[in-house]
Amino acid sequence: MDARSLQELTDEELDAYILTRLKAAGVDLSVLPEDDPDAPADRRGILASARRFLRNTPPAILAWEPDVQRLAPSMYPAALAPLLEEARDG
Amino acid sequence: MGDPHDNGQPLDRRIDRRLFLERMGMMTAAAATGTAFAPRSVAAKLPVPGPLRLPDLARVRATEPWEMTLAELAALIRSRSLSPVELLGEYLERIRAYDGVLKAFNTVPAEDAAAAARRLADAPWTGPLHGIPLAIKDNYYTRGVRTTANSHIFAGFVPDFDATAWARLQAAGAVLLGKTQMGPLATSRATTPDGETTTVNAWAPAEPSVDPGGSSSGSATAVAARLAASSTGTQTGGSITNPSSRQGLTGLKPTMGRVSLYGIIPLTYTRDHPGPLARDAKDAAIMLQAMAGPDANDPRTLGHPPVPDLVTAAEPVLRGSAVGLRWPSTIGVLPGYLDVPGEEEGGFGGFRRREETPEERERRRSQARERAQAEVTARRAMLSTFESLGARAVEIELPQEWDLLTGGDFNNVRLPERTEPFLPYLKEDVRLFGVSLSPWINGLLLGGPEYLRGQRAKLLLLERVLDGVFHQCDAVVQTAPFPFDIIGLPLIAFPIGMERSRGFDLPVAGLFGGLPWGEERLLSLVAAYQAVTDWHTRRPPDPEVGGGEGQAAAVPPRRLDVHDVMAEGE
Repeated sequence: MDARSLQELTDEELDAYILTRLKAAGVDLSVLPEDDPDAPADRRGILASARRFLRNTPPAILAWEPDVQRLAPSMYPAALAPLLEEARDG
Repeated sequence: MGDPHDNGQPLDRRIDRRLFLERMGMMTAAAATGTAFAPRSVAAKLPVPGPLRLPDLARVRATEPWEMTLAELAALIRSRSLSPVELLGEYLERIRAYDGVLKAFNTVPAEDAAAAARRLADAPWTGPLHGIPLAIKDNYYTRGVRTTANSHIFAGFVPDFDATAWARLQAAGAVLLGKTQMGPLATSRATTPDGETTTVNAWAPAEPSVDPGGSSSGSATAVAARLAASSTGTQTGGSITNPSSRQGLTGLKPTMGRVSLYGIIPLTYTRDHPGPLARDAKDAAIMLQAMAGPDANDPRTLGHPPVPDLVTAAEPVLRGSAVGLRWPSTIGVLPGYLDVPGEEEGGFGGFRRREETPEERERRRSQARERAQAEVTARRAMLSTFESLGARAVEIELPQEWDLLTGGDFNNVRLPERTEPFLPYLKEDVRLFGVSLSPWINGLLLGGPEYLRGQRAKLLLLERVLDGVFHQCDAVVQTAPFPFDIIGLPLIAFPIGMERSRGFDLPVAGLFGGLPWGEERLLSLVAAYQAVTDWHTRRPPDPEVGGGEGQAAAVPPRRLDVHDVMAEGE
């Protein structure tokens, strides 16, 4: 899916995408009330939040183009630091 | 790596900072194993305790025990002028009287605490935490004591081992006073799992809309209200420094990996940091000295330089006849730090204003402007005080792409890390997440390419902070926990003033960020500041007791919703 197209999709299209992804992961939102502002969470609010997230975060991140040769896609911190020190000392 | 015992410079300038970059630049499988859930026992190696200059006993004896700092209590307990049993009784009495309003605690295991205090009363003095009751955030595993993280997921969970950080505090002589309320799963201010507010700000106990700060809300309220001498918290996005700031405490978020996360309910593997919320810099140092060090059960803690003498670093030093800085230090001032910002939509935090009249809106904006003005006035005075202590304050330039790399979208890269270990619970029943569900769902929607690109951004951001910001200074003022939480650098919050707002006197805080392993310098700076100011000694009045039979009047709860939770610290 093109990142820009996420912003162009309708609410219904995005909801279908979100619910399909959740279903593939085994997560079921149908246990939530459909629309209940007094509930701790409802489907309407969760889906609205997810749509905002999808329309903003992935496109913003993918629009940034780093130097992939120089910058490691690292988790942090590295547990290999002791080995690194050993390599330096050795 | 430099000699960590060299007394000439603090650790932050003796270590090749490239080592820190290289730590971040390596991807490991071990980092993704989620060992925090592994049910193994802790074999904690105790850090070497730093020396402690104890305060004058005659002065300390004139103070109520519950009013004393850790250092003051240590002086009395060591001299056997105060028994751990007596001290525990003082705190339990205050909890009984005031926690009905403050709601700082989830669990107070009084009988177990009394047994531990009696045991320690007869034992040889082992250090400044000997016999001191502490408040522990309810996401730290405590063997045999309920650990809930204020979540349905952990309701009734009783761990069979202690979190390493808590095990170390116990080994240093601390007593478990209680488990503190928190935002569910360490998001937002403290609420029930379904979003009803619990803990209130100790400075405004009658007004639940005054934010106590989250997610370590109960830890902050307990210490601010003198229901405990010190407490522990965790920080992923401001959860130690924000509540400390809002309640007049000194909160220290250490360098990533300084304190083990083993046995702490995780939120975000690469960003969770345990640390202390304390009365002042010395107490924060005493706490961190005990908590910090390598732990074979947490690979994030391995390979760091040894923990330096933090307690001595937090002792003020005299230059001639005046207090001065322990080490020459330049303080970086961000652009705009001393400017009054524009209108603040967030108001005082904690609640959105769903429906408000034009008059209410104007009143809220006016209050926000007054608060911003008070903050800027306090910041100016704080920097002036540091200059009088010998520090140099310099305006710094922000690195390239600062707003982008520290902004909300790149900050969201953390979300899959919270979703992944909790996936079994999401699959079981999403209602287990109560009011906190939304970010866990969003974390499932971020793709691999976005996640990996976000990791590259973190590395670049760290490089630019180390080479750009810290090329100009030794500590830098901050207004928010980002980006230091993102890149694992230390932060310290400390009180620098008071402001009058909505009928309450509320603390105003300063926030400094430091280099990797820069806790020494941060503590030394704040200790010098606190030696010549008294903001850290102020405390809120006790809550009014109106419930009869010695119980304080209960404050009616409010409810947060998904938007409030998304906007809050973690």
